[in-house]
Amino acid sequence: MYDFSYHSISEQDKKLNEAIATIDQKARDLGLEHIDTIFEIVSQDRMRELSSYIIPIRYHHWTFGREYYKARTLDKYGQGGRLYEMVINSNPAYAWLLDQNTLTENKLVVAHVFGHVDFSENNILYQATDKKIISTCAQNAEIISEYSFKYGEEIVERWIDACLTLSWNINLNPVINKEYKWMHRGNSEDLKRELPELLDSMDNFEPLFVAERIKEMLIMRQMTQNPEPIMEVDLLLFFLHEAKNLSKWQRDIMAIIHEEQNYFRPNIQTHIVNEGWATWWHKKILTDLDVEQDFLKENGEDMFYKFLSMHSNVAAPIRKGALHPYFVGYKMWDYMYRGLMNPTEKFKKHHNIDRALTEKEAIERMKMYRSFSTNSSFFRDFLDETLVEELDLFNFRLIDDEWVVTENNWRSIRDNLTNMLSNAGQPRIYVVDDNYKDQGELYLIQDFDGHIMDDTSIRKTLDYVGKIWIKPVHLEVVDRTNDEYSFNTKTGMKKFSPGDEYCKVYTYRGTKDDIEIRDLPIFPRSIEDRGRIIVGDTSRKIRENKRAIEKKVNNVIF
Amino acid sequence: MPTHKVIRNPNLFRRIKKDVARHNERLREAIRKNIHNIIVNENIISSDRDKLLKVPIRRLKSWSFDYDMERSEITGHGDGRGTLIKQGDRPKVQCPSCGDIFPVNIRSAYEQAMEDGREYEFLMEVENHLANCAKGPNRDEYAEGKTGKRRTIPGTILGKQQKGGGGQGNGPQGGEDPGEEFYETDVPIHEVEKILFEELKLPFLEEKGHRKVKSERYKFDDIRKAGPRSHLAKRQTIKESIKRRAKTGEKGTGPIFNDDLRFRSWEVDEEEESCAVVIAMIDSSASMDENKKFLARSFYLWMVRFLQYQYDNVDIVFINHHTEAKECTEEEFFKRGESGGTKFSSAYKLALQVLRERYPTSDWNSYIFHFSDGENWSSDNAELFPVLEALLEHPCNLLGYGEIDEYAKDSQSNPGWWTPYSSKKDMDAKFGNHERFVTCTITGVEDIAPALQKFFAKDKDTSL
Repeated sequence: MYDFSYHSISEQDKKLNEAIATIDQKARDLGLEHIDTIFEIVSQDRMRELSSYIIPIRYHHWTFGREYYKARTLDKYGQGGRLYEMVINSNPAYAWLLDQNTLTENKLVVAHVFGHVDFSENNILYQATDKKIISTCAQNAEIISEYSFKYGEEIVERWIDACLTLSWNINLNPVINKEYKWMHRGNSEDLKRELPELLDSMDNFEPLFVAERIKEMLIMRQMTQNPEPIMEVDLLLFFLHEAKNLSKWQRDIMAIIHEEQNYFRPNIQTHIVNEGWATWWHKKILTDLDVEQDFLKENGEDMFYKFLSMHSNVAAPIRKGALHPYFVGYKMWDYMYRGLMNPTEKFKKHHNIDRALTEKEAIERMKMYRSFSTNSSFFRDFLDETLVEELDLFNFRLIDDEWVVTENNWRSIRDNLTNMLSNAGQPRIYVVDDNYKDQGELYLIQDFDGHIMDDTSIRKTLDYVGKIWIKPVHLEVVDRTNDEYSFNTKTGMKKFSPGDEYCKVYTYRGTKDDIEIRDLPIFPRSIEDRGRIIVGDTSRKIRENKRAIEKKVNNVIF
Repeated sequence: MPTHKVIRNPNLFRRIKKDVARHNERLREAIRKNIHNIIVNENIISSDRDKLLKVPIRRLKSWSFDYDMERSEITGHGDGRGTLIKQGDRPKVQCPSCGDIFPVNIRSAYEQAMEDGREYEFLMEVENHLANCAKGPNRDEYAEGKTGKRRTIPGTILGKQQKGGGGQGNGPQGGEDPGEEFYETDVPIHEVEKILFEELKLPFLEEKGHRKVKSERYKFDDIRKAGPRSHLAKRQTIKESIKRRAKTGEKGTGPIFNDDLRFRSWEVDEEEESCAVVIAMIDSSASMDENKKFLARSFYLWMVRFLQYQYDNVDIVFINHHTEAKECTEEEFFKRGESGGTKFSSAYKLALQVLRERYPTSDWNSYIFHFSDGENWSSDNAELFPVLEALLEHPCNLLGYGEIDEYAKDSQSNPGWWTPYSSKKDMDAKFGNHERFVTCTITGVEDIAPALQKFFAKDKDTSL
């Protein structure tokens, strides 16, 4: 972007530039691997606008206006929080700083931003994201506004509404390419030795595993003998290929939403680890710098208190019940750092080390962890009893009309967190048949992981799915369960045997008012209960075209 | 060596404006559709006009397949106020926000901690304290030097379930469809008022009386030849310059002379308003229970707000009656009243007296509203009807009677052996054809907005 500030650099910006250089040097010395970053200084209102869009130029849609309205109304009545910064994971990385930040605040924020940049540059989930997302989104916005002009704003808006309802039904666990650059970056021999084992644990996040499970289930239920059912979890991608009667502009918009959602995917899957990592680093960098060279002294005034109180504002448990990502993430990384340098026997065993590590080794180790952690794997791998006590974690649920704490045993907390955060906290819905009853009806099935789906959300969303598919849509979900289940610690998922699930099927036939619900009988079921599932060769077709689609709209002609 | 850059760009495009406008359009539409639920929300009735209100809104939620959180186990963390389960001593330090508690300076304590090799432990402590100190809890324990782990133990109640939807007491807890759910958003109360009042008007308002108030409004839309430089109207000035040059046959813009300068200026706009008096009457007999009172109260609160919002010059007289009527203050009016039997005629007689004595027809428009549960002694009708006739001939601009009848909605809850007596029927039979006599039945909170719309109908034929 063109730099409008070329003609005069204010004293303030000079100081900031100096601070950035110092922080950058220190971060590098400590081992952070961030890339070039552009810091743009913006006003509060612009920041609010950016935080509604997340990326500076997006297509027009009222939901962004809703976010902005919310932030502005809360700010006006003094209830809004202050956004110090925003970062975009692109190359070069792009960050926005609030113009009201004091120099001390900016120092903290810059160190924080470097933490984020390092994370998104090196974490495995971010490897597949578009590094030129700013210009991609701007192009997409242009395409959609052309379509709005051509086909009518309301019609396009309604179509975007429909596509957005499915925006989390994309493949959240794309097949991971194991040849990662961080493999080659690591210097320590230990690291290379441990790699195969670590990669093993990563396999659990591949979709194949889940697909196998459903396939097994289908065969067990005598629904199909076909060894290759459709099994598509990416509903948007599926409709992009298979929905009949979609015009070109509709497909293009759907592809755009699919593409942009793929960029946001890792952000949601790692927000706790990521925020924790950045918070830990700003604390580390600034306290070290202050001890070495009185970095936080400004004009003879010691700003150390200011820094501390700001830091604790960021990383304090705000309110009871919610999971505050900064607080939890920060404490976890900090616990790990302290633990690696001063391990107990238990900690040594858990992390497979035989002695206390030096600071450098500890950071090297933490960098390795940040390379492959998602929220759920982070909790699964590293949450232990001491940490649960330190964080004061607990499980709670609704009993009658009150939210009541039910448990604070660390194992069940770890299991629940891992389960809750897997798949970014979204239900997995699979397409299993696109020609159900030989009549082109759609059959969807919930991959049950212990959470029951919300009735209203199903009805509302089915309404949109039905409008996209046009023919009737069936969705099979779990209604209630026997509470007996086993937790698979390796995968982080609850495992139910099919006999424990009581299922029901929603059938949508054109209007949201006559959604029909019928209970499926308990196992064993006969084929007649469900109808025959005929499995086409859609799966293969989709896989072939996947690559082409993800490239998408290159040749839109207006 | 990496190159980081700090830049400042002018903020030229405001892309969000269009989206905000579209959202507001949808919000407004949703509020309008749902207004009868929103305006009887208990929060809106008992709060200031400048407050934010959590308004349940349909249609503005983005839907997706979702888990039912009310049926799942959720993990959270405490806020540092859990039960203290272990105790010990801690080193004393000075707290920056509550300063004088500890004798040791935090800086030197930090350096000491560094030497001892427990700097992180120390920082954690300071942090924990700062987090707690800002809120105030545990300060005493901290001062005593107690430390330990705080845990939230099973059985702790975190809060009540939040129910969506407006409505109070036995009102509806949502929309008509059982499956319809609400999305809550914060809306300033005056926004809601604006939307509601757009559709209301004082009917049959006539121009009369000497007590006309000139309300002054400043309009900044005038253009003059002289004025302060800061009010320079640039567009107009350039137009003038072009005009002047065009007269001499020159094209386009050129130098600007003093004669070309135009300045924006203001005009005082005087509006004359008619005077109106509203007589609000309420039945405070024993049969008017708490819930019926609430309904009448909701209506009057909105009516008063409407009158204050729309007109600068409106007098309101409050009358409270059972078998006898008396004038009271606004505060007394909305409090739970007395008990006893019911005689409508007493109230209407007093209203007539007030109008005749203090608000002569030559000067005042008058509106009378009365709320009751309709259990008037039928022997009273003989006295009541002549008074009503007198009032209509007075003439008052509108006579509105609202009957609160909770049984009308639901015949199931009506015990068969007893039919509540309805004065509305009698009154309708007698005056139903009179255009200035309006009655309505209120069965529950959802009828408040329709009642307002019926009494203050905008489409009603007005003589003004």
